[in-house]
Amino acid sequence: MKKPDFHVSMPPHLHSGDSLKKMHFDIVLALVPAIFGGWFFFGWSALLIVALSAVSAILTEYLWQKAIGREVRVSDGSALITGILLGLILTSQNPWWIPVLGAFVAILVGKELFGGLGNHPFNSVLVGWACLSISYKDVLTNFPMPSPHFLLTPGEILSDPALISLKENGLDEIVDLPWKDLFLGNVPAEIGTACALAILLGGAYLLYKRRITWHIPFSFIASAWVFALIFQQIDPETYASPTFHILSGWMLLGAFFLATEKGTCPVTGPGMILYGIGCGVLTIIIRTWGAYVEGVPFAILLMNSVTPLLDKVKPRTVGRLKEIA
Amino acid sequence: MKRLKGISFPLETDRFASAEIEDIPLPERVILPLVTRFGKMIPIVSPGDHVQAGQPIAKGPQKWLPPLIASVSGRVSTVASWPTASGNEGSALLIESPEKDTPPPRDVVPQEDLHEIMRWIQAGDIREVDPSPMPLALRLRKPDLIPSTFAPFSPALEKPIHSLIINGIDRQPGVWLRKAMIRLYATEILESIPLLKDTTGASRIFFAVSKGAELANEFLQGLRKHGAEPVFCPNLYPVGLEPLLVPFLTGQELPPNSGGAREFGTVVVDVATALKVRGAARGEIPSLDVVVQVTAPSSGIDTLVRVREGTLIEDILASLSLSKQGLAKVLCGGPLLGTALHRLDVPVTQEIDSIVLQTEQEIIHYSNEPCMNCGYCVRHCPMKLLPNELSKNCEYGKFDAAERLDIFSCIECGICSYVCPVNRPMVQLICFGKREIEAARKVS
Repeated sequence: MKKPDFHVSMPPHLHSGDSLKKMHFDIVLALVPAIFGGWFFFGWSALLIVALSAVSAILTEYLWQKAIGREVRVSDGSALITGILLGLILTSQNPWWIPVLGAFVAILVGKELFGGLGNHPFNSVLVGWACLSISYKDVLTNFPMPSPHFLLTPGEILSDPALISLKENGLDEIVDLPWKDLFLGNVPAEIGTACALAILLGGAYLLYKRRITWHIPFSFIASAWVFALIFQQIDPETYASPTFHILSGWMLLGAFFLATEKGTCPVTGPGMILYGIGCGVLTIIIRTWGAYVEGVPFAILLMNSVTPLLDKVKPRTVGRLKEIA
Repeated sequence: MKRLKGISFPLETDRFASAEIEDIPLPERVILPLVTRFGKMIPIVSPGDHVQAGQPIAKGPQKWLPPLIASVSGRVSTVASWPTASGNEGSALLIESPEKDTPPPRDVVPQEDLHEIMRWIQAGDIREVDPSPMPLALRLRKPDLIPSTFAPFSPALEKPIHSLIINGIDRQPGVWLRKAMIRLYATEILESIPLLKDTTGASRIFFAVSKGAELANEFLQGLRKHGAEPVFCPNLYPVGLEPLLVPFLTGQELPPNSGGAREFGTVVVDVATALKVRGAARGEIPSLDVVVQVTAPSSGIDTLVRVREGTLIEDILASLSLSKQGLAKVLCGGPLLGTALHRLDVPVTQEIDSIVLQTEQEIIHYSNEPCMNCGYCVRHCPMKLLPNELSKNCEYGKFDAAERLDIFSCIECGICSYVCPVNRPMVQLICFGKREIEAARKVS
C-alpha cells in the first residue's frame, strides 16, 4: 500500500496553544504579590520558608516519579505551585523541617499516591498542612509580629493572629484593630495570608487571565459574609463582623487559590457555586463554634469530598427536552 | 438562549474587506464525484458520451434528490473509483479535456409561479457547505410547494416555516468566505431575499452576520426594505453553525438527531447558497463554479479562488504556484471542522468552502495525558455538555455512562480539543464513543 503523502488526523487541526506550563506560570505570577507581602511584613525568613517548601515539593515529585518509573513531569509546574502555596500558609518562624515535611506529604500523599495531577480528590496543599497541623500544632502556631520594611509602622495591637485573639479572648480584643492593618496585613499571621491586598491582586490577575472563574471565589466570600452577617445581626456582642471574617485568616487565599485547585473543585457553573457556598458557610461555622481557630482548610477539604457529587449538578444540555431533564 | 459559549477569534477584517476572487483556469481533467451527502447518485451518461456544461449527468435514488450537473463540457472518459473529500474513495465521473462552456440562459425564465421556481432550484443541483440533514431544494419549500410525487419524505416538511435565517457568519475561525461574499455580492444577496421569503413563506427573516463585520448602509436599508432583520452575532465560534444559530436567534433549541431546524419551522440558508438560489431562479445554472478560500499560513497565502466544480486540489495549488515542498497537512473544509486529506488529487465540490495547508510546525500533536479536570472544556462547550466526563467515559469504554451524559448532543465543533491545556484528543474520543454506540445499536 502506498504511504500517505500527508498527515491524517481527525479535526480539529488547531489548538489554542494553552498548556499546563502556561497555566501554572500564570498561577505562580498571581502568587508573587502574596510572596512579596510575606517578605514585606515578615522578612527574609519568610522567603526562605516558601523556597524550602517549593524546592522540596519539586524534589519529592521528581524522586517519586523516577522511583516508580513514570515520566517525570516536574516541568509542568504543578509541584512548584503546591510548594509555594504550602509555604504561604506557614509562618516565618517555623523551623526548616516543617516546610520540607509538609511539602513531602502534600506531594506524596496529597497527590502522587492518587495517581498524580488531576486525580487527587483532596487539595494537596491542605493535605500537607493538615498533617503538619495535627502533628505539630504548637510549632505551627508560633506567629511572628509584623515588621514592615518601609512605609508602615509595625502593627502592635494584637500579639496573636486576629482569629486566635477572637477565639481566645472574645470580641473585645479585636474591636480596636484598624481595618487598614487587617487589609494590608500588618498583623501577626502566616506568610501569605496576612496581606489581603496582595491576594486580591493575584486573584484579580487569575480572573483576568481566566485561569479561574468568578463562581468559586465569589460564592465562597459572599456566602461567608452573608452567613456571618446573619449572626452578627442576631447578637453583635458575641459574633464578629462579617468583613472581619473576610479580611482575616485564610479566607481570601482560600477562596482564590486553595478552593480553586484544578481537579479538586467542581467544573460546572452551578456545582462551583454550591461548592463555594459550602466552603463559605462551613468556614464560618468552624471559626465560630469549632475546635479549630481557622475554618478555611477544613471547609475546603470537606467540600473537596463532595466535589464528585457537585459535578453531577450540570446545566441542561442545549436541545435536551425539558421534561426529561 | 441567553448566553452563548464558545471561543472568540480575530475577525481578519483586513482580509475579507479587500479580497477579490481569482479565477483559476480549467485543468486537464475534471472529476465529478457521484457520492453526495444524501447518497450515491446513479449516472445517466456513459463513458464516451459528450456532455455539455449544465447537463444532468446523474440522478438520485429518490425522486426528491436533485440531479448532478456537469460543470464543464467534455467527453466522459470513465466512471471510476476516486478519492473524495471525506478521505474515502467513491465512484466518480472523469471528464477529459474539458471546456469552460457557460450554458446559454434558458429560454423561459420562471416568473411568478413558485412551483416553477422551485423546479428550477431543484434542477440547479445546489449543494451546501453546512451538513443539513435535508437537501436545500426540499428545505426551502413551504408545505404548499411540496409535490405529492415526493412522498415519502420527512413529516417535518408538513410544518409551516416561521423563520428564515440567512447566514452570513463563517463556520469557523480563519474562514472569512461568507463575509467576503456579502461585500462582493451585496446586490445579488439582497435580490435573493424576497425569493427565499416567497418559497419558505417565513414571516420573520434574520440576516446573521458577525459583530464587527461592517455592512454598508445601502445594504442595511435593502435588508430592512425586504423585511429582513440584520442581527450582529458575537464573534464566537461556533455560532455560525445551525445547532447554535437557530436557538440564538429564534429561541428554539434543536434536539439531537432531529431533522434539523426545518423540523421546527426554521430554515437556515448561508449567503453563498442564497446567491445560487437567486441564480437558479433567474434561469442560470448556479452550480458550475465553486468559490473556495485557500489558506497557506506559511506561504502567506489567504485568498479566494473560483474554480469549476470537480477541479482537483493539486491543480488549484499549481495555479497558485504553491509547492508541495514542506507541506505536511492538507485540510479540506477548514481548520476546526475539516478533514485531513492524504493526497492532493481530490476534487473540489460545492460542499467545500476552505482548503488549509499546514506545514510540519503548524501541526498539533495530541497527547495521551490523563485529564486533570481543569474544566476549561466545560466552560467553553457551546452545548453545555461535560466534555471532560464524556471523553473519560469514552476512553475507558463506559459508553452507557457517556450516553446518559447526552453524548449525542455533541455537535463535534472541536472546542474541547482546542482549549484543552493537556492536549487531550477530547472530541476525537467523543466521536469514537458515538461510533461505538451506533455500532452496538446496529448489532442489537
